[in-house]
Amino acid sequence: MLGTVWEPFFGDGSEVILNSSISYLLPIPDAALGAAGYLLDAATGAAGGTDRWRRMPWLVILFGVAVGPLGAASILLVILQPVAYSAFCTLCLASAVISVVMIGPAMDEVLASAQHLRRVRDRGDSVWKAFWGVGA
Amino acid sequence: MRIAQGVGAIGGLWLMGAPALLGYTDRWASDLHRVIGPLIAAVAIIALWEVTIAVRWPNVVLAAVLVVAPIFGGHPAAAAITGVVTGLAIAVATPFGGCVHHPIGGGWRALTPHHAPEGGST
Repeated sequence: MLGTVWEPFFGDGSEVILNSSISYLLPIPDAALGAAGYLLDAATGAAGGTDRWRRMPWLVILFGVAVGPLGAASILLVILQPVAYSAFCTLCLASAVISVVMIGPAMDEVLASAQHLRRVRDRGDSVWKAFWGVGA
Repeated sequence: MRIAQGVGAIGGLWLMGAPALLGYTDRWASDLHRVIGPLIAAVAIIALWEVTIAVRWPNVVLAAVLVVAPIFGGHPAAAAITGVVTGLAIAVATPFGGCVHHPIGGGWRALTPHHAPEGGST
């Protein structure tokens, strides 16, 4: 899509990383996979309003599940960059920081939803229906 | 005060850059610091928020690995000093990660079988 990549700090580090074997490990480029992950984060993070923790626990849990693995994958890639390729990629590092920073704020909402489901269960109501927001 | 998180984030970033900045090229030492550095930084950043504040504790284990690793060799002086000093700083700072003043609905503990969640609107 773009012929060059912006790299202010690490010389040709970004090109080395973006053209590395890891980038082509999967049938689709890892950058496209990352973009899809961020799109999922954005969609599940923005939808539902402020009371979605009790109206749509499924969405909050999906958001938590999307944020966690994306952060873990980012950390793994940050480790692989210098260890496997002796290079760093500024945009990859920035992306990893964003992924990791999102985990904390996402977890308070996940906790609120989990506690809501726990209260539903303690009342003897259907956790399944509450999870999908049926009758909320 | 999030002292543990600050020390962890800075220490982790320092470990990532130290092999290049201090010029130690020994594979075992530099790879160890480049693996543990991002892990420590990530754990510290995640633990910045009250709801995930307890996540900081694994950094004690990672810091211990840094301190102990030079014993097994393969560490030039610069790498050994970097690892031991950074590891000790992180280990000593980790208990000072701040307090949870108002855990949301009783916090994660409220999800355990013998602990009912606090009120809250449902």
